[in-house]
Amino acid sequence: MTANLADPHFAFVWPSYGLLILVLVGLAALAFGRLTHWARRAKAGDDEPGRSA
Amino acid sequence: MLTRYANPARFMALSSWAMPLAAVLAVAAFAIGLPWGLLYAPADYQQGESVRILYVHVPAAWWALGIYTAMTVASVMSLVWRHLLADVAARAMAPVGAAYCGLCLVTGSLWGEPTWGTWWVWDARLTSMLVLFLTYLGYLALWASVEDETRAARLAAILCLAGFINIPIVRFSVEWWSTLHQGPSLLRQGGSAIDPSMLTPLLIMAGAYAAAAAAIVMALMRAEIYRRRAMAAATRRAAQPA
Repeated sequence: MTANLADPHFAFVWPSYGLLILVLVGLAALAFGRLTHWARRAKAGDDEPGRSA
Repeated sequence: MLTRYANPARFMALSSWAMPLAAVLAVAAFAIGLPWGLLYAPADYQQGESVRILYVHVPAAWWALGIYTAMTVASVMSLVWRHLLADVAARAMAPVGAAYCGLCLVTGSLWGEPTWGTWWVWDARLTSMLVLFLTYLGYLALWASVEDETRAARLAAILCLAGFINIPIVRFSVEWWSTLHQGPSLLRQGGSAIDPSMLTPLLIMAGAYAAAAAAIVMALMRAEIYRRRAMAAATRRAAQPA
């Protein structure tokens, strides 16, 4: 490891990496949430009686 | 080839394996790139440890521009050829591009304070990047505010095309004007100014951002196609006699 974690500049580095992780988790949650929600709704619509393939 | 994959059924078949593959690649690349940039890449001789923000900030900037360019291509396809998936693709890319652009602005500010002694300055690069972020927000707001989806798609595509003029301004702002922001380090005459010990983790992080964006965009596109199917099924049910 080359990083000096005691360096005061890390006060700016940690929030950058933390924000990246928050953004990625947020985007993944948004995409996964929408995908599962609408996949379930579309499946329910497909299962309706009289629905042609 | 574009016409071939503009078919929603074919896209759903392709993305059913491409989306998880992109997600796995993103996780793997971040698992390598994050600790490399944060802990193992060398500190800069002038900036010290704050240079580690590079590995978060620069790929976010690259892909904020790249995603907007891809949205513009999709918007052209939507306006000219009316491809079914073009609107879906452009709309799905917008939140990812906006998030990357916001991340770029905030991490740039965090990098600016220890490096320049200021969180923000109204120079050409920072201001044009802020304009790009506002364009992303405007694009998302337009989609959300127009109820007729066909009209919303057309208006959003026109806004996207108009906003594209800002992309070369962002890219060349550091060459056209005197800015506090540094000039290009990678794509410049004479080759890259970045040492391979820093360039390698930077490129891995750029690959991770790209793979994550691909996975998220494909997931959002699939969700939108499912949504349209569910809406069509609901309309059919409502039209059936009781």
